[in-house]
Amino acid sequence: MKTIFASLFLSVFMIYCNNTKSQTQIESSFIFGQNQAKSKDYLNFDICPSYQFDKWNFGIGTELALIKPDNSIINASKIDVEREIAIKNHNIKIYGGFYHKPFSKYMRELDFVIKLSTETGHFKGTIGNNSRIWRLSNEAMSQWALADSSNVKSKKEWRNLIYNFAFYLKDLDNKWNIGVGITNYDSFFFNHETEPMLFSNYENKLSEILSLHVGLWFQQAGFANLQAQYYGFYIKGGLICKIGK
Amino acid sequence: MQNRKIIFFLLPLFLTSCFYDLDEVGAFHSKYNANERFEMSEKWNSTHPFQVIISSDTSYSVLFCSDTHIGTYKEFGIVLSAAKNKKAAALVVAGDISRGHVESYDTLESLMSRVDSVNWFFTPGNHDLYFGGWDEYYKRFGASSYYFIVSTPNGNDLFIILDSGSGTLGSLQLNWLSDVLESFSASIRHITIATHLNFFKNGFSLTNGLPMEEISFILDLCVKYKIDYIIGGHDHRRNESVIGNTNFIILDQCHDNEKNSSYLEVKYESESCSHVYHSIPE
Repeated sequence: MKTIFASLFLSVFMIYCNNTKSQTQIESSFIFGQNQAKSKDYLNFDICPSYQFDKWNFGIGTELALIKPDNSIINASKIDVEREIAIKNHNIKIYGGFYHKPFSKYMRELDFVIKLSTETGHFKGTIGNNSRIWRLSNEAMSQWALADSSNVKSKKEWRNLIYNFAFYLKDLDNKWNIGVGITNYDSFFFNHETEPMLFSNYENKLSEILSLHVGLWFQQAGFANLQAQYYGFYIKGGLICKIGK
Repeated sequence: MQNRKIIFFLLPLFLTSCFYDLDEVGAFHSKYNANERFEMSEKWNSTHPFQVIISSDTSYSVLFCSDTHIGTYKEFGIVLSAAKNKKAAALVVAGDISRGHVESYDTLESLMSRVDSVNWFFTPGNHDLYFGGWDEYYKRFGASSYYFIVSTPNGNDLFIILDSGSGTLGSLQLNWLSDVLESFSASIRHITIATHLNFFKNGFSLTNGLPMEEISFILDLCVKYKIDYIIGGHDHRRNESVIGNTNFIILDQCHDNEKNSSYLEVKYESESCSHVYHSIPE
């Protein structure tokens, strides 16, 4: 609940302290899907307010599990920062984020993400690294002291390539656009590099402050070196609200 | 220009056809998905009850190996001899036992029919499913998802074999796994799970593990039911991790054409388990 209140508070605060050099953005999405680990339909809601000041962007966010939560209603939460830099008239965004996922009563997943993004013409591309830590929850350690007799409370995967490449039908600054792409991550989860997802997106700038986005993601269980099969899908749709200049 | 385009598209097809063990179609599509194979396994299990192996001693060993890729079986033959000589309670082969071709299965079936004093247990890997291999596997060896028990004077140990050959355990198998653990947890001494795909990766990798959500699901079960071992293969390179009570082990391959082969011996005792690798040849 603290994360939800913090998100709401920051959203209001950002609107309040808005000035001519800054912009507040609130991105919200519903995610509806099905996969092998969640055979019954699931429905999540993401809300991610962010505050842009000059070349910097500071954000937080949370994902709520409205139907079929893994552990609690809060699936995941994040805090992130992004900086835009120009290299020879070409803009690149450098992103750093920290994600916390209490997916089980006994286990937590922590993700540290660094990525570089760029876009040009009809193309958007992102590449980066996700460092993942699984660790026992405090409850697991207090409940079963013996379970941690080996004194190993966590497992770390430092190197995991993340990528997102999308091609759009229209120029990226067009009022509406349709895109297709391949990625191994989305808002609050990061697959291994060998678990790509295919997606298609529709985006529409409804007004100066409001944009609509709808997308379909297709998930395959592994790739190439496996007798790989269908794993799942999800549909994601929502609004992005930008206030300020 | 048109000819160049045709050559460009046909060349990869020609090159991949040179690799006898590469199933190009299988990389994108499987004839049976994980849920279908699980349903067939359940049908098999309904007429073949789970096996109970009696150990007269409170401590005993189980051997594990993976990725034998038969064809040839010089190294796998060494593991079979070791299982016999060490009087191991069981031998578990964690997938990629064959190459999926009918003749690979013929060789494997013929070999195993001559092994009489070893309790062996198989589960398929991706290679076993290539070239429509599941039909051959099921016909000859039956279920790919099942469990067996080793019963000792001071408690029973549970061994669960899971099928991850097509990149996912599937929703039915995950639910079954939860139910099996729940029903046995109160009465069981040690729990071991063996499957082909592994959980954790060590650096950038081109070989798949299980999907992230399935890893999360099983990590939860590991802590909840104090699972002792999760053993997989697929990477052909040994790796070990520990979280809490659970040892996550990726086995070396046991394949004639590769170096650094080994098998794993896990010793189960009253209060604890321990393991040791044996290089091939020792």
